[in-house]
Amino acid sequence: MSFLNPNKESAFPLLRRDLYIVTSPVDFAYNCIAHAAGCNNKHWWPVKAVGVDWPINRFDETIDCFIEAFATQGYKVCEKQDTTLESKTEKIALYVDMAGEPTHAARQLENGNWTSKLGEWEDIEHATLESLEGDVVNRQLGYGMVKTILRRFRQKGKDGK
Amino acid sequence: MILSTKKLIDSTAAVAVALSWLAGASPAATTSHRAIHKCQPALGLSPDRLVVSSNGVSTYERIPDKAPSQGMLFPAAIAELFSHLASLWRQDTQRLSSVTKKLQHPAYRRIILMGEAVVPLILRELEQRSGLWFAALEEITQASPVSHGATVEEAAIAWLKWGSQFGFSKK
Repeated sequence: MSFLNPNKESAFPLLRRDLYIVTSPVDFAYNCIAHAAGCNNKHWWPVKAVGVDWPINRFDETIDCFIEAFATQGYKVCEKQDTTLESKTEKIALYVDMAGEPTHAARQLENGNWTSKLGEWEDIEHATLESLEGDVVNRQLGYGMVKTILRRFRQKGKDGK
Repeated sequence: MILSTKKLIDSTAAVAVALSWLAGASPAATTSHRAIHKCQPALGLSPDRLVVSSNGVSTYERIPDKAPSQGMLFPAAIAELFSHLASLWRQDTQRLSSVTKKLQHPAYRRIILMGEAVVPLILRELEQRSGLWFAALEEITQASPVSHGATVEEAAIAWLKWGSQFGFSKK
């Protein structure tokens, strides 16, 4: 069982008081959005660039654009913003910064925890979504705040990498 | 996220002047005699002409037909500047998922401004650490050896192969 080094941990002020473990080593091949979508060999982002995928022909960095992209994977907005574990349901949480631009995505595992790829750093499994949010004092740290919860019927074999 | 001015000032004088050259600035007209004298050997610039104005202030003026090019910089200065900027870029962007923020980071843009001289260094970085260097390589070289839809690993292999073919890297 391993944990992030303190320098990396300090980028997520709320993570230190939460439960988490590192689940895979540093990997530059994919980012958190791709990881949430189940892709581990490309980045996902609304930009046209080598090594970067985006499933729709819309390239604005807005929450609506990300919702539309995840809709191609069968996800729909969870109107009640319910983050609790539901059987046969897979959920994704989208984070935004203070400007409302998407910053991160976390996917719920079958045990109720969440899996996140921290940029190009490690993948972690964390107990709560709040642990990757920014705190009140250091709003520039963390990934801002959870804005939207998406859900779909759970696909087999999609947990972890 | 913003490239810290202090971090750049902390660099050596040679690196700072190299940066101004690479960014297209013309330091000769405004830099003092002492500063230029100190930096010239490190940068490998051709000798400049000393101009003494009527008020006694000495300045250097570049000889137009022997304007220094990026290729005249010593490899060590280029490598040091690249290493400094790449380190800043990684430090500021590795925790981010936003590809846009990575590719628009000031340090990344500075590296692109350094031109062809940094292609071997980028390829070495790509080989040793990986990272989203493909946009920088494309912008500098105007080449696009990566097939559409390639993964990050496939793109890295294609660029390293390209580097080998065109004499930019050993592999």
